Amino acid sequence: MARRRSRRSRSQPLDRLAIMIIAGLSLALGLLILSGDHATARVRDFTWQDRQVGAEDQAFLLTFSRPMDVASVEKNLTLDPPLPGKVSWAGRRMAYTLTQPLPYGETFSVRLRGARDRYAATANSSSRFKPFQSQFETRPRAFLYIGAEGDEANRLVLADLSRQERTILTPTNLSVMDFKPYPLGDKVLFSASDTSQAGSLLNQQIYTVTTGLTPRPPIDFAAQRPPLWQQLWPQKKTAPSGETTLVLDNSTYQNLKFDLSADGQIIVVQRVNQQNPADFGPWVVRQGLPPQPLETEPGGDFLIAPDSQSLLLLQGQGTAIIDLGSEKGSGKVRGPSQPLDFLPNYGRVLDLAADGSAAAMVNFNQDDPEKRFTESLFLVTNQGREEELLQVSGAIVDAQFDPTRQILYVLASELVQAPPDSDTLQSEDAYAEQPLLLAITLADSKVSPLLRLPQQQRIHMSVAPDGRSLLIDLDGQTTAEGKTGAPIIWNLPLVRPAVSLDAAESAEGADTTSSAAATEASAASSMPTVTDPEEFPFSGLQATWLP
Amino acid sequence: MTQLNNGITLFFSLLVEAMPFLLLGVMFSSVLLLFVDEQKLLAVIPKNVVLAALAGSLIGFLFPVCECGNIPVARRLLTKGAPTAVAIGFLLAAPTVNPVVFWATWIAFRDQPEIVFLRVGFTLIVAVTIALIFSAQADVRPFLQENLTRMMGPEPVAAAPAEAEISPLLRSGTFLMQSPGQVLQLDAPPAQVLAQVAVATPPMVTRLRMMVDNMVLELRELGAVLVIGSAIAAFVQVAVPREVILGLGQGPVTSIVAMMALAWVVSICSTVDSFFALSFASTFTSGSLLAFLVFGPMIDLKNISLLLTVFKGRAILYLFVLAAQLVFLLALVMNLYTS
Repeated sequence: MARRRSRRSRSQPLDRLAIMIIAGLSLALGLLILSGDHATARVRDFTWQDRQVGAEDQAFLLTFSRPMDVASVEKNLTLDPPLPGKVSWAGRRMAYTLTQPLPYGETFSVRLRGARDRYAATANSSSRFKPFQSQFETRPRAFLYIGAEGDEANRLVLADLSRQERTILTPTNLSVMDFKPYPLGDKVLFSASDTSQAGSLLNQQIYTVTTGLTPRPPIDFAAQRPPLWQQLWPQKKTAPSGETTLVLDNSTYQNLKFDLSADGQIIVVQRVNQQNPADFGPWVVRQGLPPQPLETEPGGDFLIAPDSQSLLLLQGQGTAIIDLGSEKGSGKVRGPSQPLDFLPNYGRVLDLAADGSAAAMVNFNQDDPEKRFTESLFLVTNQGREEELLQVSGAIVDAQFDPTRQILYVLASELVQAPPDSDTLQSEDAYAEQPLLLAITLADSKVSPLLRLPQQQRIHMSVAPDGRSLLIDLDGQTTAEGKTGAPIIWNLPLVRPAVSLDAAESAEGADTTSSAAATEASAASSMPTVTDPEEFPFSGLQATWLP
Repeated sequence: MTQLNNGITLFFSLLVEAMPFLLLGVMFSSVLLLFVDEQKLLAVIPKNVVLAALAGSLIGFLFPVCECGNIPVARRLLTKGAPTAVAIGFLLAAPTVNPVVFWATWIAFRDQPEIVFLRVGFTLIVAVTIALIFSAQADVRPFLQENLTRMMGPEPVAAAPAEAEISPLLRSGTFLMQSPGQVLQLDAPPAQVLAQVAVATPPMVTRLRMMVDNMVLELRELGAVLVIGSAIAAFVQVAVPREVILGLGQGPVTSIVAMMALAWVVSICSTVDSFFALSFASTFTSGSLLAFLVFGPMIDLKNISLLLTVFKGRAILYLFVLAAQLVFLLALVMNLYTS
């Protein structure tokens, strides 16, 4: 036994080889460590690289290859033109959150040079950083309208302000009634009647049409990534503009009003059976699924909430919030018979803030004898706060939130003494509605009138996604023969006095720099003013900014 | 008292995490024992040492086990007469190079896909290198535990002359003399005895029952060892908190040392360690993360006790030092020259 042990403990080939290699590796490791750091820190990933971003994109991420010296990065990062924002770090990732909505139709360059990684900073050695330069652009400044004259008459037209061109999107035989752009602006959902068929005005069908714009949205880092094969699959080419696809026909049901959800996946259409007018109510059309009626009481006007999960539907005297359900569950929409919530005081929802935190609603003041025949605009938050912002003697026509949710733009009218009109018979105390464009700062509920508008019945408003301008379209002046003139589209640039970025923009790109903090502080309370309204040389209805 | 509580929590979490995989490994080992003919197995394995090492490293794709489950399988491969290169390659690579771990790493490091591929690549490099070093030893018996060498049947004839004078009968136990020089230990588990004796394969039902018996036997043996290993790992983690290890540094060199020490001490299972590593992804260098992900599954505090059922201390020391040095080298090259 003893002999065996001694034999076994004798050095074996493995012992010799292992010890040799261990020694060799130790030497190699020593040399490697002594040779020092040769790596170059670099930006691994920039989420907005060569992307087209919109107002909903509020932050970009820069991912570095190694932990960085925070101060050196923040000092050396430049954005041109400058964009105020806040920097936050999570390890090797830096997030730059913008404090202002991005101005549309611009190209920005991002540069970072001379930054140091944390090791170089602690050792106080020279930096090895691969200079980073990249760029991104914002979506074009473009809007859609229904043409009124010539070739454009009753057709959907895209006006691209960045490229100064107009494109007619829909074919001549379709008379467009209403439209809603998809969230990326690559498609438009519209309802139209086919003028080549008889009795067509009631026979709206719902279509989509491509705008020819190529969306290149940044990759959403919070969302689930598509599977690998989808990432590697060659991307579909953008369709040229004007490709029309039928979404919903009118064979058994007549289509009335519709709305498109913020994520572009759900369409809600008010439909009525051609044979049985009692069969009336909202239907839900999901991407790739057949339309389903929503099981709820029939209602009136409706709006899909920004989370694309619920529907605000006017039912009776109030507004019901109805769950749109999830698409799972054999593709059937299981609308509950009871709404999620019911707001009895509000007969109309005008707009919801993009984050779903607040809604602008109208109370027709039916229950209060003192306020009879007036309308009140309320701000209703998801915290349950209800605040009266405005009470008018006329009507509240429209209200839209500024993208920062600091300002509410309101189209309302007040009753005024009717101007004497020699052509028509008038009673002594005739009244007319004087439409006004108002801005309400939501922080302090301060109302300030922006413009007094011509006394026209039909006025439509659209706030630009970057909050820097407003489109108003209204019928033209009545001519002496009693004909209504061609509708006019006005572009109203909105300037917030203290926001120097806006000032810089309106002063034709004069380069001004400002600190983010100062801008932010002043932005909250600043009231915008309208400067130099411009009238477009073409006419149309329902001018609406692309998102 | 808090420390005791922490220790017990760590101990049970290690145990609960490892036990299913040990069970899986024992099951694979029993299947190998009873359903795989060693002659066929040996015929499939390439003769070339490098290829054999690579083949062993890739067996993990067939047996998705983590670092506690691979030891019974590696032990079985050795007793079945597979070349050392195959067994060592399997032992070191299988916990990482297998579909389950690959998928888990992919889920955790989707925004750094190179981590996933480098993890597999580095593991293969290290495993094949160490397998080659170990195959320099034609007869690996001096480095194995004796109860294992007994199961391996007769030693090769080349080593026989000196061996002949020490009859296996001099060891304790019950033996069956079959033919001159062929001795069978009867108190080995019945399934193993049968596997060596039986010429005719027993019917399926019997084999299944024997498989279960063998599983119970191996689980009792290795389970006990795992309990001890987990207890030691839990004790060390309480005595040396993670903060101390992470405090070793975050520089290009020190971060690797810290993460390797952490991997060794926390003894986390390879199927979930990528999620553990993910929490360090933002503050540590890529090289140190890879060192954690490659070194952890190979050798850690918990499975050293399991390894001791197969290898003698000297062999484990070589495995440990070589694996540590190779991983350190690769991670260092990565940290200092690439990122």
